[in-house]
Amino acid sequence: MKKYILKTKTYKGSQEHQKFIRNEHLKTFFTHFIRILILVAIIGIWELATRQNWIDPFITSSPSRVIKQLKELYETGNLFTHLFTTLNETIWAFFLSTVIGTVVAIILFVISPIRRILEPYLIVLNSLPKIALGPLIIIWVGVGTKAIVTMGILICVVITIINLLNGYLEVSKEKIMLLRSMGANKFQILTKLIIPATLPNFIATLKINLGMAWVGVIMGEYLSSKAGLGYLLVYGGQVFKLDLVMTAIVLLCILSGVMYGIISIIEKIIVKKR
Amino acid sequence: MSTLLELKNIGLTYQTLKSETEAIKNINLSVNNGEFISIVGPSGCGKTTILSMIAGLLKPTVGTIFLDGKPLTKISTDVGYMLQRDNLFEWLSVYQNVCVGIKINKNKNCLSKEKIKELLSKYGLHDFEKSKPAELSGGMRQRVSLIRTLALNPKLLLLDEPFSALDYQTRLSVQNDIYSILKSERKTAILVTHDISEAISMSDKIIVLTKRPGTIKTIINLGFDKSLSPLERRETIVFNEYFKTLWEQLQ
Repeated sequence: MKKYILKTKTYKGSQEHQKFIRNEHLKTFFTHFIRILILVAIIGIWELATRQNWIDPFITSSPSRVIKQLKELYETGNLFTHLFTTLNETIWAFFLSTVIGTVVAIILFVISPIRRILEPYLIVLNSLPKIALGPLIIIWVGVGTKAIVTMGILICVVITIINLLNGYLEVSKEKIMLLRSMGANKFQILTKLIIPATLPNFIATLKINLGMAWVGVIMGEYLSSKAGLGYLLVYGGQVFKLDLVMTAIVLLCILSGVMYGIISIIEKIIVKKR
Repeated sequence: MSTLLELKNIGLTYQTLKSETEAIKNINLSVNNGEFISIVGPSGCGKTTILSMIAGLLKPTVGTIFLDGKPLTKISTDVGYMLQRDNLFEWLSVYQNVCVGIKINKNKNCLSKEKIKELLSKYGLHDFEKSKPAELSGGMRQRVSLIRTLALNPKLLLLDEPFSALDYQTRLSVQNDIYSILKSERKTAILVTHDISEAISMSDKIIVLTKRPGTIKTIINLGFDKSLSPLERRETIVFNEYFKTLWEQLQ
């Protein structure tokens, strides 16, 4: 709180403006404050409710049990194995689906006959629940990491292609015509106009893609896995160890938040460069 | 004066599954070096189609276009095309925008960096070289767009209603600016417009087209003193007479 008020003290402007700035800072401060308060309240009430036996910690677990579980996982050396397994799979699924999706989207954009021919296939693939392909994936690529990453890619790649392609198609026809009238070829139109013009769309797609990669990887781990957060979830559910399930969920929240944060930082760097 | 552009018996028919539409037919036109020509006519008469063909973006169904005596078969950097919207790339600075065409056409007869900087400062954009287009006013954006077209050193400029997106006040002053830029750079230009006053205030010659399929109805030669700017032309008595003539032709 002090920080926000101090900032305005060094500023010499009209009184109204100072008041305005102070109000804006207060607004930001309260937003952050309430946000943290909600989290603290949830954890506090959760813990209190289990301690007072209002709810059964066997079914709901509790913050202290989650911490105990985390410690246990750490001490047996399994915590980082599970974390890195899932993280590794997610990064691969995210990376590969972004690369494949971008390449396919560019091909479909540049060669319009292919786009026209493949359109219905893309629509069907997009609406198909990819989990249905689970058994096929296991038979075709085998169980384990490969199957999980494949599931992740399948879930991400179609939506990546569709999002990027739509972005490309929305670039103004007039701008394309302008470059053509300057003698630009298709490759130059792509590199000078389409890709830079759709950069914001690309970053938005990355963000969606990341969320989808998590879904795909956890789904893949449900199908077949020996380690990972999805494995902990399934295992914890089967042996009715809700502490394990809750711990895995908390870890997933933290990991996905951190990765989203990294993309946001990349976005800021790119936007600044433009 | 030598002939720069010649259109011989040009006609174009648009094809769709349901029908065939004859957009223009029998266009015969020659444009001399340094001339400023306007094309006016009812909407849908094929004004923009004619420009697109000269730019090489559309192929005429019949007839041939000659540029400098040679048949025009593909897109040429000798022809610069300026559109209604400025179409500046928002992610590039003003200077980078101006150089877009140069980057595409390496090793060709483009303007030098010095010449471009000179044009930018001459037309009031010196302090904005590094700015993004979003920071410029509508009139400034259109000037940047013109300099971008001039950067490829075209012999002929095609202007497709380049002022219609501007408000009236700005339009008058940008007309003045662009006219003086084109005259001092000694460029030949063809302007498509549906603003009669604009056509009279800027051109040496006005081509009036008929309704679709567009053919040339009449050509009006304007006899203004060469030293008059578009704004000054608007204040002369003959301006109103030309306006009346053109108005009657378009009825």
